[in-house]
Amino acid sequence: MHQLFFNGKLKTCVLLSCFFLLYLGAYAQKKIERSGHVQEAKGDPVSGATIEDVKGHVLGQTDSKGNFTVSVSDTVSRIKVTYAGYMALVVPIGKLGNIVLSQGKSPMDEVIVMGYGSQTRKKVTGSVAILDGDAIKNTPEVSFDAMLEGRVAGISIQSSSGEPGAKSNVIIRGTTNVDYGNANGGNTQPLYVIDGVIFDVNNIQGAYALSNPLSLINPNDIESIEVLKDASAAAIYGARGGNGVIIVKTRRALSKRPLVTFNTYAGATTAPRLMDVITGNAERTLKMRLLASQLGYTDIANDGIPIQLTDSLNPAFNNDVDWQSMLIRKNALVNNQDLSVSGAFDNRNSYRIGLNHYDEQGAVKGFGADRIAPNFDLQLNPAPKFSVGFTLQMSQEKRHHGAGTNGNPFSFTSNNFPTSLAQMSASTMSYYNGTSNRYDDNNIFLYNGSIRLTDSVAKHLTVSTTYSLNNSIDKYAYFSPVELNGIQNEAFDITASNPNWASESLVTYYNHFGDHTLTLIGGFSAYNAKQYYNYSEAAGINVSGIYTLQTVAPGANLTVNTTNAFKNTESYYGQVGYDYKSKYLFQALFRRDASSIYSSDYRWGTFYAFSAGWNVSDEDFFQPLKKVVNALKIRGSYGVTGQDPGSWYAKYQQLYTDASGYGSTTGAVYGSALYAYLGGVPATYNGTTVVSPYPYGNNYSNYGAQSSNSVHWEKYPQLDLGADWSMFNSRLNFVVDYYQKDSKGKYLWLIPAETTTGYQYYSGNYADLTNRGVEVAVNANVLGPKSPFQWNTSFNIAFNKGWVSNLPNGGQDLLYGESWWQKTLSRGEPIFTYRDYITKGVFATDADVPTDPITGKKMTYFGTTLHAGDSRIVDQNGDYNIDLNDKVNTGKSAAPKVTGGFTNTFSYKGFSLSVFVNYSFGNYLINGTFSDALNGSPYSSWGAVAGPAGIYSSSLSQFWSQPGQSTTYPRLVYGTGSTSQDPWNVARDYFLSDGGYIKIQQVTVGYTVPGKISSRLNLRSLRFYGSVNNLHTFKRSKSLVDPTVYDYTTGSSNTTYPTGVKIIGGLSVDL
Amino acid sequence: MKMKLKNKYINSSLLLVTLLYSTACHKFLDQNPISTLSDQTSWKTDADANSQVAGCYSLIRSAFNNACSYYSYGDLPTDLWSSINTGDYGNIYQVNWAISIPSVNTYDPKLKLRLWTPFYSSIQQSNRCLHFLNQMSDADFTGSSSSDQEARRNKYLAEAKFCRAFNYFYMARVWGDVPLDTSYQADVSSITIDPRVAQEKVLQSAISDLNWAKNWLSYRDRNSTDRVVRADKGTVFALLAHIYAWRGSYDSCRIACDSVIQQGGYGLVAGSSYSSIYKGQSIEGIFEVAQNTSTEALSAQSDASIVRWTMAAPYLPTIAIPIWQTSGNVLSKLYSDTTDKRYTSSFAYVTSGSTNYYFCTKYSNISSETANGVTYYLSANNINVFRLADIYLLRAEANAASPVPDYASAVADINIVRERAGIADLQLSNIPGRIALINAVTDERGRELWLEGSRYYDLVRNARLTLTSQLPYINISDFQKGKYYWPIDPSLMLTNSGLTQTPYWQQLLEQ
Repeated sequence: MHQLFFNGKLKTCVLLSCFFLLYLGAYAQKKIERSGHVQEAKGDPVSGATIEDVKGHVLGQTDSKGNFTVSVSDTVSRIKVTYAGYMALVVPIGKLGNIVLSQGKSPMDEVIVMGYGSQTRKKVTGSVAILDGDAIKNTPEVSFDAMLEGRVAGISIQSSSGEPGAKSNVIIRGTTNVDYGNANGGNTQPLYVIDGVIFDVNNIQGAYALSNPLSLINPNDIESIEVLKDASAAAIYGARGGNGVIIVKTRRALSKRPLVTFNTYAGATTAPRLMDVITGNAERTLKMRLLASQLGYTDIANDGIPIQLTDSLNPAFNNDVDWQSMLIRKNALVNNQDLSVSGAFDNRNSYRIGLNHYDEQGAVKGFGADRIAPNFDLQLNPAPKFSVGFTLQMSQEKRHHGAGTNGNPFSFTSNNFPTSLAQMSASTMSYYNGTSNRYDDNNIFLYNGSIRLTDSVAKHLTVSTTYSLNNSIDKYAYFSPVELNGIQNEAFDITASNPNWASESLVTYYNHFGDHTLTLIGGFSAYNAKQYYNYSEAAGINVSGIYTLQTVAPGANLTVNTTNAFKNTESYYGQVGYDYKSKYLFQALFRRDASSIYSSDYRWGTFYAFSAGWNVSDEDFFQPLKKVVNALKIRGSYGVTGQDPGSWYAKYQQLYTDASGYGSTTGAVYGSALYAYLGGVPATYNGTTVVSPYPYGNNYSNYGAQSSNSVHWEKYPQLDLGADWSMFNSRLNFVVDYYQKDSKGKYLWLIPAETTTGYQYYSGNYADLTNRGVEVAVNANVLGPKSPFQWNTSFNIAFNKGWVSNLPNGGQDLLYGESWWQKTLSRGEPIFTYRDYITKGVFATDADVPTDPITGKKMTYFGTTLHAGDSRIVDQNGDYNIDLNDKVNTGKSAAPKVTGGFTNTFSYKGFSLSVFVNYSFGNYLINGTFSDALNGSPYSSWGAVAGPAGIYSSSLSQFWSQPGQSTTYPRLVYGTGSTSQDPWNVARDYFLSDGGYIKIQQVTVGYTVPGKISSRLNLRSLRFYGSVNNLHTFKRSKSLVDPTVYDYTTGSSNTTYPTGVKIIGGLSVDL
Repeated sequence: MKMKLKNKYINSSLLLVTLLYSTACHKFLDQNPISTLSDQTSWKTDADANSQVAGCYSLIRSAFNNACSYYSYGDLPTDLWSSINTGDYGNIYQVNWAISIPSVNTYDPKLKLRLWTPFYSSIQQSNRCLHFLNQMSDADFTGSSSSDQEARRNKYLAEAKFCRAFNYFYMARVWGDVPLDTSYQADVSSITIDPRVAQEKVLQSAISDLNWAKNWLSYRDRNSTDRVVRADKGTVFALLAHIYAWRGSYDSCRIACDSVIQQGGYGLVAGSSYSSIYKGQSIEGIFEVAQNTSTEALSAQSDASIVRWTMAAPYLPTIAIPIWQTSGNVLSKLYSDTTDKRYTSSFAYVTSGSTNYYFCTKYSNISSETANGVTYYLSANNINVFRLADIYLLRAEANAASPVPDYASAVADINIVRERAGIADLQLSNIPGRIALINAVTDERGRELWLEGSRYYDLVRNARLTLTSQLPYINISDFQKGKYYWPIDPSLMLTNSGLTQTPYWQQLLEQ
């Protein structure tokens, strides 16, 4: 052990202090011994069930046979038996012989893992949401993060691609990410704790941009997912809990008797959400009509109309190709198999071995994900009160990313599709759709292993130590042929490896004093994260049969880049929990964190939380109400969590070997066939390598950002007020929370600096944000427990309002992104709001264009006179010229204001039907699909390829086409002599669409074969099921193809990989 | 029973060993970057020092290419052109410098040229070098003795000071008064006011830097690969000479020129090989900005390159007719002797219809790269800032500008340059007086330094001395109101509330 985690530099550190604990000894007390047996309905013993008295004092646990012996005083007349996943049961002391627990949950009795301990829901004072693993079981996705959307109040999941296994962006209680485009490392995802092991995805970078390390976990292996939302829940993770914490527990052996479970499903992805297109003759007719009506005589007389349109008799131009659907697999298959074996031996040791295989073909040709994930869990009790646990999860994944990787002119974006009239040879087509034997190999190996030692050194005192290791080794190698990129054969080889280790040691003291219960926890943890990244690329491979970097000589055509980065943290924490009769609850947390990110003066951060709860329903005065409200708890918490800046070396003044400037080049040709250019970044001045903090940026600017030596922890003070109540004997349950989460001293990376400082920017902890909201979760067992027909409904909704509360430089707005496509940080507004031109339709006639009374000239757009058919952009500064100064903050952002989900489950005997709907409202997205398609289709480019297939056909009547028309969109066709006014620039408000939607996410039907029949087949149970996923989305905006998929940075919804409907059927067998 | 109870003790001791280790383990929390360069982990060797100092020059290069800036400031608003066929640069040529541009239009050269930002990056790189070089120990520097090592450090310090002085001088010529920063700033977050300082003070600061620098630099080392493109003692004197000339201290200017000419180790290239000057690092070069190797070159098709604007086929096959069109009138006026080797070797023309378009071929060292059947062009010419002929003519100007001109010396210097160009000597008898002498120098500089970033300042100094403006778009009245100093872009005031607009432009450029 020791050698393992005191490695490297640590070896040089001396153990200066040791924590000596006295052996207190078990003091004997004269009490009555009572024994009993706990089992589940089917007769299997329940091991590990907690036996407590009715006041909540823990008396003991069942052994692996389900037996227990507890000593109780004479006065005790009843005990309570609890076990995760089962209804708690209160049993008279005389009837302990055979206690049968039944599955299901009374919300107050759920056992919740709280940092380094666990509690029943009744005693929890923080805001914690729990999701049963069964709710998401057999959802055809690679990883569980994609399944969380709408399942838990206050958690919002964004996805940027429909690609199988693509990572998603998980946001708990409103976004706090001010790192535009995650250019400085992001660090925006919640902290994942998997089986007690920190699995920080923020520290894991992939070789492929959308790689998702959470695919390590087979979703079907998940027993439960807890989301710690407020400070009192998350503060025990101190500096790492700022984005919220998600605790994942995987399944353990349930009973002593060996249990073999086999589960499989298979299905297909169909009906991907594609852009509406018209093709063939319809496209020709539409375009010809447009051109004929809007081109001048000169253009028509001079053969200005592309030959693809006019020469309809030419077989080369007389096709009807739907490029989109050519890239789509007709029926993309998905299949999954899980096998697990679990049980116990020697009465006290349990094991579980699982194996998963998941294979999904992408809806787009050439894409896919294929995983084999074995996992292993072993719990050993070599001596009483001493246990050793070992868990290992592994995953080996093979992924394909199709043709859309490098300079492919026909990736799945709307501006790239050529006219449907053209044709492409079969061999070229095979490159685009990835069916040729082009090399495309993305291999991911993930593991997460831990060893846990627990020793109950004394009656009330437990010491435990955990050591864990995990890594994501992502290797991505591919070959981009000249046929695709248009320049030359290129090979890429990228490897990312992110080994982490962590060690945790803690001491827990737990005792009752009469009606008082006291828990004390103290602990220490050390954590080390590494990022290894190798990127290599070779261009100009001119030999057949070579798909890697071989044969290219060192030089401009061979690019290699290696980055290694390290981060260490060290933390101490303490926790005090106290309750009186389980009625008055109090908890205090304290944690000190130090990180290598900060200089020694700033590296220690202090985080804390206080929370209190009152089980009102336990009060005497409440008893008259108890028939209706059987439980009511009021709780509140305040505390401070924190967050690191994304960059691990933020305190260091970064320097660059960049000697480039405007127009400079190393003489190498870059780009694609469509847009090739001389590129390269000179690194020398007269042959001497140049070092400075001022790397060339853009035009006159450099990207020099002065670092702040005083960079420090971001602090997130958070207030949470909540109530949990259950009515009608827990048939109707509510959880309601109000919160205000401030983010103080957010690290801003690019703050405009005064220009004579030489720097373009400076960085530091300068921005404050606030998120405020209300979350409501309701669960109802509509028909009551005795009804043979069961209807369970659960609904959750979360309202969040987030805004920027403070900015540097006197609160001036900060602008991000390209000048023509900007987003804003502005005080009092949501983060990264769109900055747009506001339009009021179009100028119906030339006379409608305003005239400057001083100059007598017509209004202009960047100096060019506006005409009929151009957008009527609001001239904000009244200078009769529309330019970038006329853009305004719209106050609209991509962050939703309302999110949630609604599940209804019906069951009757062995049959079940479940319908899950999720929704999101209040955000705005840029219709990038539409803008790109229009930008790809000006008349000038029709000349070359006759434009993309007409995806705008459905909105054709909304484009201006003749004087006098009042339309939404400006004219589509500009002939010679008329100048396009950049009408399809995304920064015009007509591309901003309401991103709200309601999605029927999952409809599941199942049938469990009656026990009589299954036991005749020598099976414990047999279940058949089927589900339809992503069934339908009701959109607020008709024109967005799929508002559930968009780029988080730009807010642009532009289908680069469509989502589809997945239909599966499967069966599950227990032996 | 068995060994059950004993185990308790064993287990306890086993686990207790694990616990806490000390907070004194600072090394665990000290993680220096190993793949990222930083100030904290750098500045350890002579090579580090050299790379940082090279950064000062590289940033000058970046400032000079930003909007073809060296030529846009130095040649564009002058009489060299008949028309400029691109709107943005046409306005710069016509001194329409106050056109309002949104600050986000970062690509607009009218905006770029009003921004001094790139020059300050170079200045602050000098300030950084001066700070960090002094933090290094002697032993970090190359040298067999501590005095050698000290000298080495001082050489780098001298270069940093040269670059700083050069930038301030260049900015003073463009904007007049500019903010003066001569120290390293460890924290820039609180800097919101940095007012413009009187030009005289800025130039004094530059002179004082150069007077320090000249003590620690040697005269030209012809074997050094860095000759000409990095400062040596001759470069320092050449810059001093230019600063003195700009502020009208012609006596000091003459002395500085003497040092360059007599001790600098430079020589004029033969009249038959003028073009070697423009490739760079000729015997005549005193200070050039290096960009003549393929790995440091400019794309000839980029807006940054003077080639794109002024040249055409066959040198640059992608352009048929030069975009910035050379004034035939001024060409024929200046090169009235068409045997002038500067004329014959540096100009070509293309014919379109009945019109000849002349263009200067000084920067015709162009190479090409071909990929996928398309050819791309690289311009591999150093930016010539100071060269010996320029210093001869500057000394001539110093002698001419004196209230009592030294006619003979001035003409002698002019004739050194003329003889190399293969044209007849200027005869003293043809020069009626001081103004004529000054104009003769200016004309000779025009012939010699055509399109070398000098003409605009030559005409400004000429106007100051002769009280007559030869600048086509600045009449003498506006000249005297200071129109020849550039306005600053109003966006600079967003982060610097201490700034005021250049006086002439105050009414014209408000935002």
